Amino acid sequence: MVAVSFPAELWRRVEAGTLSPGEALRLFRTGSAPTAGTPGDLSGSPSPSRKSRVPARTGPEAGGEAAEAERLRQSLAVLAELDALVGLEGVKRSVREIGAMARVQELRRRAGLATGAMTLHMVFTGHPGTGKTTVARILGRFFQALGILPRGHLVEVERADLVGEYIGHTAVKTRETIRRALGGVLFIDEAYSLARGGEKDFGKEAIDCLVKAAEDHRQELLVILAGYPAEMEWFLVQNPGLQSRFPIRIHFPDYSPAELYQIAEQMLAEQQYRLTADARAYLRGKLQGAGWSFAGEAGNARAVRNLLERALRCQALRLLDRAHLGREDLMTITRRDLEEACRSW
Amino acid sequence: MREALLMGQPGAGKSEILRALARTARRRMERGRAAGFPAAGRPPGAPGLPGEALVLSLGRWGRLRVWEVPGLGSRPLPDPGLRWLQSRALALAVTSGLVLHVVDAAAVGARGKEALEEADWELAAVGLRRGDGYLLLAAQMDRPWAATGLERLRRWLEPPAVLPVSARTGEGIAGLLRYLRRVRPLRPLGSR
Repeated sequence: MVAVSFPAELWRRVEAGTLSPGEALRLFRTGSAPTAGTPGDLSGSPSPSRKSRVPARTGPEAGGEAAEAERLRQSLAVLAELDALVGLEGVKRSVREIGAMARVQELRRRAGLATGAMTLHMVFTGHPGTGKTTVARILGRFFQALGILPRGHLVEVERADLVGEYIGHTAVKTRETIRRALGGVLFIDEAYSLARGGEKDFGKEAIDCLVKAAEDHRQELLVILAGYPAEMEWFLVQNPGLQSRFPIRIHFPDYSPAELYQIAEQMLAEQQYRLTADARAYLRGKLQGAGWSFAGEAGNARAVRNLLERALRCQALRLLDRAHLGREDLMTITRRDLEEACRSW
Repeated sequence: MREALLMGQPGAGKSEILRALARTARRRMERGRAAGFPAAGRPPGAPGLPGEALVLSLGRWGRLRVWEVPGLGSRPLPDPGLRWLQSRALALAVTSGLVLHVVDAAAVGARGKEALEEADWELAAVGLRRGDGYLLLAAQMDRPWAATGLERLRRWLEPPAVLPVSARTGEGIAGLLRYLRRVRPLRPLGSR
């Protein structure tokens, strides 16, 4: 039997269905012959000439380097997701800085160099719908990709999840929540509500419990306190112990009308809807209009999403009595749909 | 006959571009032998020929056959004939074929790197080495987020040449046709 030479072997594997086109091109680029013995193996073994061209890596550092490269690749992929978010330039820069610093510290630790104790617990301030939870979720995955957090998942809680109803209940509830969040991110929304109830409120017990957990599990838990800017300031002043334990502050500014419009287009595109030219102009006008505010406490991106969801319902209602609907009809949001949605706001 | 291969993920917009190209060139699409496809070498019983191809005359440089390669997804296709076509196209892509790499710019704009398959990154890597033998077609430019996608594709894939196109509005199709008519014999990878 005539031996099949590289790269013909790769193309034969594609034809046989044992290699995807992407994999074949990657093996071609790296000069690697396909591994012998894979299902549907055609020739039995890679050609000897290819073996000699790709020196095998050996030694303990080979696996470590590969793992580090994979970690870097994954973390860059997560950062790309962050970059895809509209606006938030300051937030993106802060996350990069924190991630870069944490990575270098971790690499220094592994290399046996001196490292400072790095506390990653954070305070997120900003109005509703400015992307705090979204960024917290990305941050968890980013730190997981960097090897700083073991799991990187997000546990989002509020006062009711932490504070109990009788003496001793709060500590149990809070500890259970912390246990669920270990290895990932504990995101406490409207954290100041924990301190609102006065001296006898159980919220204070929850804060003490959280502060202790934030110290004890610094290596495996990232705690994020989030809420409105002014209230968070008040909260931190009321609890001086928190200031030093939550050294990183990230502010999420309100979106500009142009950014809100971009978000609207992104949301619609993701759901395979599109606006007519007339509807686009109307939406731009609404987002910039003096009488209408989506910024501040009105809800920013969340308010836009609510408006669009109403518009989708109005579109469905408009199409209700039409027997024949084409793809275009099903995808198009008109000015009338938006006007109806705004009326029922 | 030289080959120009429309390659990319399923649904990237390859067929629409091919049809728009034929409309702009005012040429009929050819099938099977009329398009000059060799019938030999196919696995028995497999369809294994592209449905249609656009054949352009390049004067003294002979003829150029533009055809669509079955979508390059993350998994092998179930149809053996389509896989056969893919394997022939991959062999051509790294040798004498002109790679027209089609990527949905609107999807990349909206979904970022998630919208790119391994085959996209690897084809772009082939493009870096092929130079003249590769053109990135940023497709679906009439859709929202395509401008963002185009900018990302330029930054992420660093293609030697990129052309924004939309089969729906006709943007870039005449430019693509001019480009194809100027195609000269190409050097395979590794040759000097």
